[in-house]
Amino acid sequence: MNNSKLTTLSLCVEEHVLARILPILQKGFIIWSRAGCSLNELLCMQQKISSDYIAERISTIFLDGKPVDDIDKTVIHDGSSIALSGAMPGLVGAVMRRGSFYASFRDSITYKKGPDTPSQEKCMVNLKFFNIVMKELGPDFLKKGIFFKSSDLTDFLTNQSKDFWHGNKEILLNKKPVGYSLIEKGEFVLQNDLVFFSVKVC
Amino acid sequence: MEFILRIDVGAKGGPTWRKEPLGGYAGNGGRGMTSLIVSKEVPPLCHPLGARNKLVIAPGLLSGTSASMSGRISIGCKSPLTNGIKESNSGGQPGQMLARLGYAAIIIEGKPEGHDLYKIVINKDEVKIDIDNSLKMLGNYDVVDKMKNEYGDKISTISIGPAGEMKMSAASIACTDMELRPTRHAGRGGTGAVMGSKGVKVIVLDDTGKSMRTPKDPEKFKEANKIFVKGLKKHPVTGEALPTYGTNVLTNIINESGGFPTNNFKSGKFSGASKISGESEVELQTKRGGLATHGCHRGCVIQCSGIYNDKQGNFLTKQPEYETVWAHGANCGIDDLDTIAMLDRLDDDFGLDTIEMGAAIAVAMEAGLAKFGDGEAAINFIKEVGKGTPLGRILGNGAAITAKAYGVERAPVVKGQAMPAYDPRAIKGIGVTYATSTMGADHTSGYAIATNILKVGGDVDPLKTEGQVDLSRNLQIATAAIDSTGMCLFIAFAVLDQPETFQALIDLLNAFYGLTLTADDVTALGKSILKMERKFNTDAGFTAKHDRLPEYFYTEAFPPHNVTFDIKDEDLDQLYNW
Repeated sequence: MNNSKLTTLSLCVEEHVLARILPILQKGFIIWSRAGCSLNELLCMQQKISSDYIAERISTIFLDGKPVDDIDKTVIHDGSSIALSGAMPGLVGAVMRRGSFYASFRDSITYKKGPDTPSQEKCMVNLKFFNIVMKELGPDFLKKGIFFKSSDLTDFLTNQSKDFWHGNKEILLNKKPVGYSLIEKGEFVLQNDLVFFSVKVC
Repeated sequence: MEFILRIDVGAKGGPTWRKEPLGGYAGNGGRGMTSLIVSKEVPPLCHPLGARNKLVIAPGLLSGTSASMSGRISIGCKSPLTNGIKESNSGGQPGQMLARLGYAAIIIEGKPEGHDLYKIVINKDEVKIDIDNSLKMLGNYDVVDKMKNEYGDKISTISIGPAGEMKMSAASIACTDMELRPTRHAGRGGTGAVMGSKGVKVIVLDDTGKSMRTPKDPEKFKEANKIFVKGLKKHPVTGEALPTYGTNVLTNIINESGGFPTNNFKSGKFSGASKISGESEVELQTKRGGLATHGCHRGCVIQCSGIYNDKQGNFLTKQPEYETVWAHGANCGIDDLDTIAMLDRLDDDFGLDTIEMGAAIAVAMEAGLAKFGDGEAAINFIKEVGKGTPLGRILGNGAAITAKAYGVERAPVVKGQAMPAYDPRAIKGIGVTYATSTMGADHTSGYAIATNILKVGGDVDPLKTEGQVDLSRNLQIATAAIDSTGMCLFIAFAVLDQPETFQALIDLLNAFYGLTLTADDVTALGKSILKMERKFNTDAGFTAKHDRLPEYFYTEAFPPHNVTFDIKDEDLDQLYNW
């Protein structure tokens, strides 16, 4: 990434607005990792999610749409899409859980580790947060700031109503204060494919 | 629950009723009761809309007690949709009220002469059956409003809308919720058409003057309920995911797995999933002043429902559930929650099964009657059903009839009933249940994920593909048993992971009835129900060939995983061998 071209957008919002921003994490955001590393390494070491939290709260994980059972044996590659979720209802919700008693029901789509392809190359990964994970990890990730595809962020922000914007105390585009009408109209997307987006409650 | 209320709508001179002792039906409840009565009293080869079919309405064994989650009510008959036995159950208030009024079942039999519509009012003192033709072709919401005006707001009702009166095979029976709205439905299998064929528009229940049913051992019952509630509240599914996001929390997950049927089961990923997910739905409801956490009956601690307000902040419908959001959303290519909520409202008002209607509309879209994603067209389709136009009557008779009428091969049905929101090619184990269930394609037939505790049918290795038939069998047995208790199936998640919660459920039954049931007895109950239902279907003409998915599920690769359903016929045929 060439940081000189990076678009940044920071919002300083009232508490209730944060809850309305969290659903954007369902579509996913961009993180960088190392191709060939395990999912466990990516989540614990690189994203600093505690192993206890993963064990206790993240019951359901998908890599490229495939339900994952063992995060140590799940390998990341460039373009991977990872989704993290809590325990889900329904028989199929139970079927999708890591190490589910009903794992055979989804045998044909379950993630199975391929041959080892060691690599140290930097790779881009799409990370999605669903339900309780969105609610519990989302605020911290947004506070630190994360990368979104410009199109996803534009689509999300331009669909917000006036009361959403009235709950914004400060909007900084490339570190300069701007009025919400600029953002509302989607005119902030410059030449970049990615936007570094951060949100804090103040 | 000491009595059965038997109503003969075909009696000379008008409907008659009598209160009967339970006799041979004692000790049964819910699905166990409806399937037993239908098996014993309904000729399997009778016409579902004829005089010899019967409509049976039964609260569960624990309904009307202070046991949490015990408000389900079962409705059984020979189904006009599948032509086999049917049990469809619903939440809402009527289960609790009927049980407190002392009735273990209402049996409606015979066929009235003429076209009068009947209203049945049941309270602690009497049963009254009156002609009320002012109710003709009214939607469920108007029917309930009229009943409220006549009988006050302490009642609950069981009613049909115009779809039931027109005897459509997708017609549901509506039960009122805590706010006295007809938002809870025994949706599947066309039970509403059978109620319509009996000429009964509404049953009004008033349990004023009656109190909670009393357990044989009140102390033990109270203690068991305490442990049961604690277990539900501490579990991440029943204590967090369901109360926070409702059942629609599943949309993102099933879509992510590639098993979310989209555009009439053409693919397993819907690009608009995040717009209609539970997470988005809750955010929208909260913003509009609705409710994201709400129970469908008193005594519910999970509270998986909610209140959906329109753009002006006025009540539109209850929070559309996952199956509805899928059926009218992804399966029709629609990614707008307001459109889906309007379809849900219309389904509830006309008295229609949302799964069957979503499947029928998707088939119509495949036939070229509208484009996938056209929400306005979908709303108009449902309105056609409500009006009973020729097109509406085709759609209102379900996905299979719609496919036949328009020459569409891809009808996602088993035994005539539309599949729910999980594609059986991606999640094959659920395909085993769709294929073999006595009810037709039905996800709730194998839902009670407690088989690892019950160990019904012995230990199964869940990691072996060949174990899928065994697992499905065990799930179906456990579900049939839970369906008899009046308990909401969502308790199964806590029961799966917490043996003490499962034990508390058995203790509730034991303390209430003074029994010493064990897990083996629960298994035996489930098996006996399935055996009865299977026999009814066999006698109605069903063979192993009916226990199959439609041909295209075996031949069309389903993206994104590009998988087909490949469980062998001979394996499916083993399901009832125990």
